[in-house]
Amino acid sequence: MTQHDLSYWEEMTQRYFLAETTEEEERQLRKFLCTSQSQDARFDEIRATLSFLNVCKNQHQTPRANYTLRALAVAACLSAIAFLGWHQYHQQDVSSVRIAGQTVEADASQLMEQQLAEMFSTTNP
Amino acid sequence: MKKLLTIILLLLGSHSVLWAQKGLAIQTAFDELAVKKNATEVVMSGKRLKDFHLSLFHSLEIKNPSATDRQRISSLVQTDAAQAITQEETPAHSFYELPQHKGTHSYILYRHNGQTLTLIYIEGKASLKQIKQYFQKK
Repeated sequence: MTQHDLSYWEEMTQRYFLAETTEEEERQLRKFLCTSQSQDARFDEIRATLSFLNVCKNQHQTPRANYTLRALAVAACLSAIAFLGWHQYHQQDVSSVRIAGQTVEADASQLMEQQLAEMFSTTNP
Repeated sequence: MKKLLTIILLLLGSHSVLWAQKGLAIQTAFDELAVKKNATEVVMSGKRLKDFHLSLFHSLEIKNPSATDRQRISSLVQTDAAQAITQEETPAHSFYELPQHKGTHSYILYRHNGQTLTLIYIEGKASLKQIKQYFQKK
């Protein structure tokens, strides 16, 4: 930011209250008010005004920010539910046969029926 | 926000129901012995078991098991058998019904006929009597 003397900022402050400043000038003014150079009683009024406006702006923006966050959270939740549902659906349909730890092409149903039939072959119903 | 995070965490937490025998001692048998060259492991779950009112079938069959493997499996089965609510034991086989979880039965079936050792873990709504009826050869 270009260094200006206090009279420059004082003059801009007056123009601000007359609504004659541009957006760029108001941005510079805000920046100036954050510097040690502005710690002067002549700028107390503009500082108070801009602070107040800033608070009002934040208050109006908060609900929107909350809304966006909530929408994102709901979207994340729905995505998680959809993913888990999809994963669960596919994971539940398992049919595999492994011999010596190696997956082989074999009819798991047939092996299951055979093993259970053998298991119950010596029992009473 | 906290509520939504809680819901997501609960969903993630509940998402591990398939291998319910995890937590049982016999899980070690499936993990360690299924890789042996004389071992056959069968896993089935989902739609194909629906007709039998089962949700999970997991078996391990070992041909000509060594004495060590036999004792190991037998010992693991006995560990889980300690919590069985019903049991049927003969020299040829052992069947154990574990405590129900959310209305789902779970069974451990063990058989050793001298040549083949079979360990089966089953989950589902069917009772042991029904399972026998479905699979016992007429």
